[in-house]
Amino acid sequence: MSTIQVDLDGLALLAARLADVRARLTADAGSDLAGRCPDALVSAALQDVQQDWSRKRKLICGYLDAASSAVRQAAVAYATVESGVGRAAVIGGGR
Amino acid sequence: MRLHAKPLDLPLGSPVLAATICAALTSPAGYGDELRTIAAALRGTAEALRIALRQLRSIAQPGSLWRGEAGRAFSAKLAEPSEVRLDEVPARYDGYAAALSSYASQVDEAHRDLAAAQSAAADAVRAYGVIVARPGAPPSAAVRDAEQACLLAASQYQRGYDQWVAAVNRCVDQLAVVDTTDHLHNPHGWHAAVDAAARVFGDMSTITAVLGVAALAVCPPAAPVLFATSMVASGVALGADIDRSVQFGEHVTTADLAFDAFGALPLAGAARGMRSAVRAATHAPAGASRAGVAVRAYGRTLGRAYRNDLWREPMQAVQEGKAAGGGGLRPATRPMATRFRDNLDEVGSVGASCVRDTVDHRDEGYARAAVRSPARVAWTPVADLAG
Repeated sequence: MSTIQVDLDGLALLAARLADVRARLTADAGSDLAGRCPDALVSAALQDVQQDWSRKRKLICGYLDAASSAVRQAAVAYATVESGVGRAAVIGGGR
Repeated sequence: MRLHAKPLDLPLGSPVLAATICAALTSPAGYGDELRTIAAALRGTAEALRIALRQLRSIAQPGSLWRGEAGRAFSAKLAEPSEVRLDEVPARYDGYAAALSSYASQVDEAHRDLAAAQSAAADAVRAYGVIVARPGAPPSAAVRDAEQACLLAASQYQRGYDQWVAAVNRCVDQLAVVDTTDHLHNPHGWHAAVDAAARVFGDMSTITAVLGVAALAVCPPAAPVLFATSMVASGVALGADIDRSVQFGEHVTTADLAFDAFGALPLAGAARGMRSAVRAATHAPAGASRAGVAVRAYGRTLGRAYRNDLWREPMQAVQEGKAAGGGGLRPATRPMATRFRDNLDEVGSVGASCVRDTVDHRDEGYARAAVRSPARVAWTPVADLAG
């Protein structure tokens, strides 16, 4: 017997979470993180280290974008299928 | 460039001046709470990424509840490219947070100490001013006491300031350590040079190989020089790729390494080497290791092939070109073409055996069978003979 268990809210939440992390990484890459730091030296050091992983961050943000979009699309697709199956299951609903 | 705070250099030989400077200096504020807020936000990002990755991997892993084509397609879509190194990001953010949290408590303490010392310095300077401003010669003992108070306050300030300098520099260094300990940072120095070498020599190898093939038709004497350049470039790219992978943990695929190694190999020599190895192993003296004899024969033939391809043939081509002088490059064409035809025959014959062997062993999977085929092609006749 096959079992399908899909947590649509969970998928939507995961998509949002991935997008949120991606947004945080991008914001921290700019002046956000260093700008919030009140100490000039520590702020400069933070800016240095944040700039120093620009290449990998770009890859990571690209991956998070793709993953977030895939999860969101899966959630939408499942919701569509589920509502279709639901409509069909209602007696007379398929007609 | 990493910036560091410098220790305070007060003129303690002139206590009143030193205390006056202390009273006027801008001390670091007590911004520990702000640093703690930033650290908490950084930890939050690290944790959010960890949770998201855990969830993502739990739904994308093969063998989960979701089986079938759609599940496989979804897993493939979510597969993390290994060069991304997502797992190292939370650790990096936690590292930032740890550095800021540790500095937060120290900066608050430094602020309290410096504020107290600064106030004491201001009081001492004021007291000294009152004493020396009195009409008439001030009592020397009172002046000495006031100067002593100035010295005490200035020394106290300097100690506090230097402790703060040590703390802020420690924080800056700790952040730099976080940056260098993972594999996320951009390449610098030797790492950047090796990256660039792998890229440049890889491209150069491909371009010269293509030009070499084109030269066989257009200008044959140039072909050996181009092929030799391509081999050397592939060899350098192979070394650079191995270094990138081993020393810097860069993502270098087996296909990258195989492509470089393939380019660095004198193919005809490698094929001829297999024949020599088989011949040597079948005629190995009694008691000698067949494998050892075969490897030695293969190495000798390959060495000769390298010498020919990297030195003799290019030199010969240059000499033939010179001998042809203004008469064009035609005289070189015939011997060159003969040599290349022989080489192609050699490569083609061994290549065909390898392809046949790969097809015969396709049940292992084509990739694995293709990798194993050269060894099998070389060794099977020897093993048959021994059997």
